[in-house]
Amino acid sequence: MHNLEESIAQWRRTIMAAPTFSHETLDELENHLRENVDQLVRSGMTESEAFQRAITQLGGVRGIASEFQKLDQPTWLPVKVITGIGVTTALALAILLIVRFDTGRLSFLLASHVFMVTLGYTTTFLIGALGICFVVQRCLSDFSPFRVRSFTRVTFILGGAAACLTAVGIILAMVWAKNEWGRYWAWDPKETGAFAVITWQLCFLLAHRFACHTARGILVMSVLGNIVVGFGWFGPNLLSDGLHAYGTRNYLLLLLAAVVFNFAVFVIGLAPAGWLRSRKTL
Amino acid sequence: MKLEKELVAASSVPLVLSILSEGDSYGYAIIQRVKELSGGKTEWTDGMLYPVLHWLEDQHLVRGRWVKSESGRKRKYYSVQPDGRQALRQRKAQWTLVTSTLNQLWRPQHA
Repeated sequence: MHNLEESIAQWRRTIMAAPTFSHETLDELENHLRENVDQLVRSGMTESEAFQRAITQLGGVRGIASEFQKLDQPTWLPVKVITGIGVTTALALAILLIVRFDTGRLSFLLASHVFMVTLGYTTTFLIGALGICFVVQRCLSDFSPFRVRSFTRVTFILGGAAACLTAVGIILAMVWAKNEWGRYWAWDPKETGAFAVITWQLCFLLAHRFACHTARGILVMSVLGNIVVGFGWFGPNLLSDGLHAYGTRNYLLLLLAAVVFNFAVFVIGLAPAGWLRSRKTL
Repeated sequence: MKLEKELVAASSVPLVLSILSEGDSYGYAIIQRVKELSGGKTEWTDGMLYPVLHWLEDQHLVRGRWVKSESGRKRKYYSVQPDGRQALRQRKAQWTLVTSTLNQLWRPQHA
């Protein structure tokens, strides 16, 4: 006696071996199979014959899998480049801090704080860099909804990593400050900057979770991130007071130029997608 | 008659969009409609429809939603979106041009 449920379960196991299929797709294909078996049984076939016919009509797993694979677009080049930069930065920073820790110039707590916060801030800059690439390419042609969704997913993962790294870095710094300076937090310019950065990073994640799934929404968040982290990270170094005063550095103009650049990118991003290509073809 | 693979691929999008423009539908019913319209002469491999549907969904030309049928079985119904209607208009114009050109060439000659 043919057992349809067992045959379908066996077919599902076979098809699940191909990583191309999501559970939803599998449910959809199974539903199709069941509808077809029902129809064939109604037309007079035995359940076993109907199942075999339905499987044949559905087509081979490899054929369907290869058609689904065509839907997967390769990873966008800037995402690959930025991932490479992120990994290289993390490795270089780890080596530098290990050397400093090894020679006794940095305590473990401070080295861990510097590692976490630097990576957290850098990751936010990398999201901003992706946003800039996004705007540049959008000037030439619009992104497919698939690409926008992929971009949204990547920036959400990076944003989550940035917020976690910064948060852990700040907590480590608070513990270190309590040991060294006798207090956890004092709204020092650098600490205020860190507070602004973590606040923005959390807002970024909230905006991602509840809205901003459009190309423009992502662009606004990315550009704002560059400006907030720029001021939060490098702004306090321009001030001569505060416990984190490492000596005034004269790069105010550079910082302002970076802000202007990011605003320019933001304004360009507000133009309709593909506007540059339309001008070229005039 | 077995259609060439390339022709099946090229016609799949306008065919699916046209069927969905008649009303919301799901995979199995779409296949049945294609068979009915072609008098059973168009041989589609059923499984090949789903990558097309998912591609249309990715492009926001159609929208899919799971609905529980009267039999209790869940089906994914697809409906055409405004961009899909626009795409269908474009495809229709292209296919009309192709068929009218071929019809003129293949019209019986009366000498």
